[in-house]
Amino acid sequence: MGDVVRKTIRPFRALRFLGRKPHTVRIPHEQHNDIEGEPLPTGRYRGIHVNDWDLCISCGLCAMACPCDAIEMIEVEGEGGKKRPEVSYGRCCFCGFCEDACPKKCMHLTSNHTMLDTDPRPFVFLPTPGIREFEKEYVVQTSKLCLVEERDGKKVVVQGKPRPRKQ
Amino acid sequence: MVEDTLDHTKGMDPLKGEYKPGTIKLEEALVRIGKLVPGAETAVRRARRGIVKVTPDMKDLVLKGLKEMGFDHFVAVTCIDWPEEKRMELVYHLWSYGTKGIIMVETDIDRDMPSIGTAVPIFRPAITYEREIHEMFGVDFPGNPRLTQFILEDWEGPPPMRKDFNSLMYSVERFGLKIRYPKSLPPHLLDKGGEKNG
Amino acid sequence: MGDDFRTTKIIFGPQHPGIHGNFAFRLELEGDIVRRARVVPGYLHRAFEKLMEQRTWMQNVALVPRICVPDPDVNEAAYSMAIEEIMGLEVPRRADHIRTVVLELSRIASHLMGLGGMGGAIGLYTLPMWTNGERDYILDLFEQLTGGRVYHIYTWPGGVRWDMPDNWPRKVNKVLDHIERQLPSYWSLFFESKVTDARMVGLAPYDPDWAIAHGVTGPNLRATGVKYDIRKDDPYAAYEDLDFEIPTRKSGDGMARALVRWDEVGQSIRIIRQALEQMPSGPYRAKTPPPLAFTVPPGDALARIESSKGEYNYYVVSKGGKYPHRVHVRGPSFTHGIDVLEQLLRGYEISDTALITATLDVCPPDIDR
Repeated sequence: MGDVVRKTIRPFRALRFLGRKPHTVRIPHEQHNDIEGEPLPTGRYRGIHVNDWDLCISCGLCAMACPCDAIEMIEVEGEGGKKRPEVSYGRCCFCGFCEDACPKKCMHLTSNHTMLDTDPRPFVFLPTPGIREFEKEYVVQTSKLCLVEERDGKKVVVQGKPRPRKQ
Repeated sequence: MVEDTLDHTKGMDPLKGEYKPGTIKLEEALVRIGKLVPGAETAVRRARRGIVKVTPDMKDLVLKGLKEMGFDHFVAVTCIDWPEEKRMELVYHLWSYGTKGIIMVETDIDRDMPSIGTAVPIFRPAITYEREIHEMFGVDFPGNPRLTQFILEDWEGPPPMRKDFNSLMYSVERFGLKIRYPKSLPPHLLDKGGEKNG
Repeated sequence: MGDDFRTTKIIFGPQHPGIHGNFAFRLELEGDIVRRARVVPGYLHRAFEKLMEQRTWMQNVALVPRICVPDPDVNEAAYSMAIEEIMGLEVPRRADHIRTVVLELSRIASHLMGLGGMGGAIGLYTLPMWTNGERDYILDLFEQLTGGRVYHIYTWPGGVRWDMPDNWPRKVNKVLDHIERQLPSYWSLFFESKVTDARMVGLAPYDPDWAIAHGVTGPNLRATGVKYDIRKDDPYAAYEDLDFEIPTRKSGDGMARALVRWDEVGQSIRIIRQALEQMPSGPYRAKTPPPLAFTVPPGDALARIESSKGEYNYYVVSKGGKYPHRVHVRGPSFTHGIDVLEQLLRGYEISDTALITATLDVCPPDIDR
């Protein structure tokens, strides 16, 4: 008898959760914090790529290290014959091997991870430092990404600034 | 941690049997198998790993002998394709709860008409592994009651895990896949055949 | 056949609220009772074993955690352990302890999800909501350590990829304290309820001899009383230095399987606290060949890990050279999810199908790879 009472009454103790704050974090209206209240994601998060074209020596090791064949080295008009990496987000698995393989430490993965667009073309882009401007905002603007197109047999930058504005 | 003071087994029949594992040592088991089966080569790879290499017709004798010695947990059977050496290798992994060691039984079968007797009467879990190897490598296991289609649905090509099946070229020919970055692909993916060298 | 009008054949398809992963059944029902069940796997086949032969040894580390979603670290650790055995690499002790902490956190997260799955299959949707909420704190911890929430790509041959941040052990202890405070609520919600007793006591029982003869491993085997755990019998990582127990139960039915998983959460919390206290200093990686020219000498090795669902094995064969020759992944659900499940479902009602699958903790990505 005591068993029946206990097993029927005890589960109603869950009703005390009606008065508590919900567990859900309404991103982006609220900030997602960890258990101690510090903000997430941290600097280690493997998100969107940046690449410093002044340090990049176009060795191609990032393309060789990629397990998904997401990086292709593109010869861009105006860079003096140097090839720059182009990343395709249809293939990238965000493992970070390109960042580990880079000998000049110019390829990095930032902690930004939201990129929205109805057009699929910006998702194949050339990483540039310009994305660092958006690290404090939630969504990366795809209109500021560096894209190339083929014109008269050469690859020309049609959108975005490969080098950041001089402050 | 919450203590369990409730009786959850009320009204249930008690379990039949208690499991009593064998207690032979790994090296002793290998020595006994070496004597039992003619032509078997045994070796100890490291602590808790032993190998027995036999011919395919002796496989049933080895598996039954090991099961009686306490190696009754059937872990897996793996098939490895060696096209240059013109053979396929089957490796049966067996574990013993008492001895706490793995013995791997290796046999070689012919590559052009691969076929070996089933291990299902001795170890029941082999039924699913043999079904998968039959589908992926094309090995026949006469006596297995469930050699039906397993994972690949409506598959018309050759057995796909063999080394001479190039999955990229199959997709290009059958489905018209466009390879996006042909120049940056590593050469081994564009070859016919799948043999990679270092 | 005389009874063709008595049985109904249905496909209990891959899109169904009670199904875990993508996994279908072909059931023959007589009224409400299942007379014959056939499992239809293959919805999640991504051909990992063939793909792994076409990428170099280090590139495979990015591919391997995607085989199992609830418990991805087990794949990375088993793959790395097999390569280290072939090469004769010695992993530093600090890396072993960090690997142990990561594996045990993954086990707690997977058990929370598994218990939630059992609650969902009964209809008690409060439990999966709660347990997945707690799992979120563990995923936050993983993000602070490895950079990714679910697919960590952190354990690789030679050790681990980066060192722990300095404030990470303190955060881990805070999360474990929080989980321990919530455990009595889960107990009184799920295990003290008459509904759970009525559904799960006596559900699909089996004897220890039947279980071993059919290849059942992990918590499903410990629910019958066989005290066997790879962490004690075939130790790897830092488990030899740590003090923990192996929980078993005697009845071998659905309730025993749930209780063994419940007990294991408590043991994992104990292991993590010990491993963080005893964390040795030193390097976190051994010296390995450069990743783009990583070659492994010819040989083969079998690495075994106790995952939250059962026994996980990786058999790696190397021919020398930059690419693996054969990698065979054996997940625990390969035996649990097909042969064992088809035999256990007979005689139970159709509403128990999802519940028996949940108590066995069948993970369809393990089967299909």
